[in-house]
Amino acid sequence: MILFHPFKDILGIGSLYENALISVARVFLGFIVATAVAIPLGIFIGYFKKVREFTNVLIELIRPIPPLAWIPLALAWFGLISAADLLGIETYHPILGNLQVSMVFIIFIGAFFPILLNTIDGVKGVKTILIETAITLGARDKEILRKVIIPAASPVILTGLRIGIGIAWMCVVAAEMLPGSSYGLGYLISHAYDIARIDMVIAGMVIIGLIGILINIIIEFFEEKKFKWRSKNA
Amino acid sequence: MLDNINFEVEEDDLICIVGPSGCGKTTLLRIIINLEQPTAGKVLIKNRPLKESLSDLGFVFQESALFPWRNALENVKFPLEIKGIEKEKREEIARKYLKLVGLEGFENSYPFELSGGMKQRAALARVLAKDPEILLMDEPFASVDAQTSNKLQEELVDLWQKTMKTIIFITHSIDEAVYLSDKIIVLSKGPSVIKKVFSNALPRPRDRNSLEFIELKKAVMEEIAD
Repeated sequence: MILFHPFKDILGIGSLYENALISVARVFLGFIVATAVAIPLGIFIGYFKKVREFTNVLIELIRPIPPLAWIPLALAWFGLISAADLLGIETYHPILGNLQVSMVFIIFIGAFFPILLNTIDGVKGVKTILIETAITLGARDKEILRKVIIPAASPVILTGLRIGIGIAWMCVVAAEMLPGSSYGLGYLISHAYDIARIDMVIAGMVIIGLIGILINIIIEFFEEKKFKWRSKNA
Repeated sequence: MLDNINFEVEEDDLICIVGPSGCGKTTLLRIIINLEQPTAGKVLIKNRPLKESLSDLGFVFQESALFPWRNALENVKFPLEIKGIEKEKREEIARKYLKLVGLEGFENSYPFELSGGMKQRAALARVLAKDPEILLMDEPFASVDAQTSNKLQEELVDLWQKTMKTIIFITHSIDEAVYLSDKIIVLSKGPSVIKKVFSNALPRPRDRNSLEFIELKKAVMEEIAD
């Protein structure tokens, strides 16, 4: 049973472990970039009412497009360029050579919108009384943003991160199942199907599920520790 | 909402503003702390315009406005951080004020772990840490049970006598107003004007059951009911 030999190579496309690693690396990169863009942007949009009104239509227009629908465009824009190419690495690199920009882009799109929208919501939803309290205690705008709005919005933003990474994880697996990809758990599953190795398909699915749960557990643990005030607070 | 309001508050006074619901008591207080702007008229603090004197003012809201992600001590430290006071001093001052309001031992408790009365005490400690000369309080004990409320009133008078601040206190409770104040301003129904100002010279600590206390209560209530 493949599951018991996660480090054994499968039909020349690497072991379960290696492919899982590639998938995780892709998600990680896409997720980090999405977070780095969506959170500051979300804070900016959530903070200024005028900006919200301005960008609302644009966001609502793009949001419903499923991340996977971006694949043709991503391939057209980025082709098969990988992170290794971007960093100017000439020889084959096992990890960086398999972090295709197009794939990371899809993951980025998948994670971006939940994080953005939750951040906007979180910032927008900070209770006025908390902001007014800060004002009466002498805080000025920058201090209010840093010391009140961001901490107050954090639980909602974290929820956005949790949703975002969940979608990102689904995106990578699906994106890897499409023709033209190489390595990764999604690729492993579709490849295994092609050669009628259903045991490998199931093994791949189990790993995908386990990693998904693990990610969730990590985030929930973090939520429990740092945000226990959230659930108890009306 | 507010029609023509003119009054002066002497330094170190504890005055109460009472009036029917919706007469603009809260609005008045919010104007004084610059959270709202009057359509006409102005606020002068020691003859200086309001905008220059904001650091002299402090506000206590009716509901606990403690920052839920900070524990009691960290909440009290907030105005000290704003003022730029160094870390060790912040710790010292914050602890002092928490002790003053009777919350020693609860420094590490979060708002969700505190009762209503305790939260308002913490909110008071926090605003006192800002060290404002003038304290504005918008029905701060309204959402707390009557017994706790009475206790908090006693503690407030005690605190006031110790720290010699000027306090403007809004309340629905005439009992509370008579217990606390040197002066009671009665507002009319909106658009409100000042109906009457009662002077309250009852000696402290005040006995809520004394004849004079009850008579003053009656007089104020009649004025409001008119």
